[in-house]
Amino acid sequence: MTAAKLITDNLTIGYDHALLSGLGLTANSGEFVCLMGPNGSGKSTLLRTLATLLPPLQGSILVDSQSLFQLSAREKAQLISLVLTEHLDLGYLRVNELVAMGRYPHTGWRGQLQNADREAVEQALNATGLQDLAMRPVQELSDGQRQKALIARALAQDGSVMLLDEPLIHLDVGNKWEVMNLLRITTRNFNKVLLMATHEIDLCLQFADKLWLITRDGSVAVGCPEDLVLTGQINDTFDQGDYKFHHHQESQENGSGPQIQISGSGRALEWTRRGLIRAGYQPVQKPGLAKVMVTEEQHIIHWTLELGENSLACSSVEKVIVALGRYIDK
Amino acid sequence: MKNSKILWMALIPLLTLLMLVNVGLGSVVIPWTEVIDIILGNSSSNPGWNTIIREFRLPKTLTAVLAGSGLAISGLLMQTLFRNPLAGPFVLGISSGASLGVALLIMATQILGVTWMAHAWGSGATVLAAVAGSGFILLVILTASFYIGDSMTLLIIGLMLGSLSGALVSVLQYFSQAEQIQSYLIWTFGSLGGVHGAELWWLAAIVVLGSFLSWLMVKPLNSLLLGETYARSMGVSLRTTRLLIIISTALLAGGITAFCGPLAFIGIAIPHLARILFKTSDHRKLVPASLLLGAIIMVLCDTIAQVPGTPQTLPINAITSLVGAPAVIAILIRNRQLGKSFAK
Repeated sequence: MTAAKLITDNLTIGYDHALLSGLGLTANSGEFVCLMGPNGSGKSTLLRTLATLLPPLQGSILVDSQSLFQLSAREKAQLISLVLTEHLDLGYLRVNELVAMGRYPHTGWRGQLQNADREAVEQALNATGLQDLAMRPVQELSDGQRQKALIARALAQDGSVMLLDEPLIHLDVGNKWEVMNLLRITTRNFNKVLLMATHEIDLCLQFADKLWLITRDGSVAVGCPEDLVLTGQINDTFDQGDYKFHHHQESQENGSGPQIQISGSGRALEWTRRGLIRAGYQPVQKPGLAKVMVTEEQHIIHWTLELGENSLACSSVEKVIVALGRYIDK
Repeated sequence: MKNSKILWMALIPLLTLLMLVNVGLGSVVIPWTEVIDIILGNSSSNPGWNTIIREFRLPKTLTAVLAGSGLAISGLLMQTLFRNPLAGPFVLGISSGASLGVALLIMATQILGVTWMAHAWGSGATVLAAVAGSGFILLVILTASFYIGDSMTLLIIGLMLGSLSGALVSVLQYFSQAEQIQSYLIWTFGSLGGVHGAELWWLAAIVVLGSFLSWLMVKPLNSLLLGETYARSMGVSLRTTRLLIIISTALLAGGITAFCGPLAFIGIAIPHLARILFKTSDHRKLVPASLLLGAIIMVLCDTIAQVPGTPQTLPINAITSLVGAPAVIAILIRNRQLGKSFAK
């Protein structure tokens, strides 16, 4: 295993007083992490701190094993890129010019693009499906396209970590889905860490590899979305007054990819199924590449994984997915 | 791309032509062949014409070019820094500071009973007073920018300093004689004709230095289009950028105001004209485009202000607004996209 891309070490954040303290969080390349929590829980503060827009009260942040606070602004910009919510009016600025701005930490004083920069811009435009709109003014794009253009700009900046602050907020349902899908694919293809602050719990359950959930007691619960639902931490965090988080809608998807046999019953089975689909497998009732059995005893859930000859006991959906991933890679 | 090249090819000869016309026209009629001869360095048969062109008209034309370019660039810098289409060279209170300096020179000295000073020192004293006034405001703004992280707060402080200077000038006017008030008012009308010899070199040095500084900043200026947070995330040092923007604006706006008085309108309008004509938000194009358009419009306005063929000269400030405002309104109505260039 290589070292994690993004590490916080005993990080305490806040403006005047500590909002969250002693954070030791890690994220690996190729992981799409959603940062969730109630309003005022410190999502934006954490994101701003990680982006070094705000100094931490204590602790350090490492990206690619380098401590951010020992780097110059330009070096930091080569590691971390940003996507924000604020509505920008950009005049005559064209999409390709906006994306090319992402190359600023790599270019000279005039921002003149070299071949490598042009390639990065083109790659970012292709990845976000904007190549046909490259010469259009950003102003003329729809909100969904504009958000993609801002993501393309952050992609072109080409750091190891991309931080996104509620990028879905102005989008309609279809565009939200599309942007989430784009972000997940981009995370894999570009092998980056994507950390996105959002309130879109349903989409996170569907797309995120991991959640960082800021709970009501001021700690950060980390895990794959299904596990956090099954442990009840999502409910503990978001239930408020008469509102109860209740995800009763059964996933309509069947998934695609390697077939995995799955057996068991109830809530645990449904969330395990969703976890497998999210991780790129196709859960089936008949024998497949491997078999997952879910059993629930006195509110404690066990997963038993049969990989060929071997049998493995797991304590979470996350561990099932990790073990499956290793087995299939071989 | 192609359109902007054609524009450059058209605008540069246009400026040359306008400068020639500006030198050629005036209250004294001089034949065109003689005008061109004198500009090319030959002496005319009429020594009076030599003096008129070399000592008066050429310096005035060059002053118009320098003042127009410099004000347009400083307007562009302010509009980008504050992301506000209404910002101009003087939002930081720099011209108000200069006005206060000049008002103190003209009126306060009289109130204190030392009327001789202004006369004895002549225009040099006015320049010094204006430099001292705008320099003082600049110091206050720079100190504030060091402690305040937020550009909007800085903008408001600039506006407040402007009001403060304006109020002080009003108090001075209240206690002054009609004569002094008139000489102060004439200074506020602006004048391109008072810059000669060494002064012209000073003005040229200031404008070249200020423009050069803004040319060095095209990349951070572009990144500021996305707002300060994005700019920082792209590795731009906001503090350095803001400091350089303020210094070059102060040089340009303060220097030009010192020599020519508070010239209105050009600084706010020209950057918009540049964006609309060149259809770009890229400062690598906007800086030279503002430079060129500022010079063109200023020379044009000055030509009109001379009311060719008559001995009259109208205040340049009135002309820039009389000619410029309707032109900008017309362009805006045709394009309807001024607001697009900015975040709210």
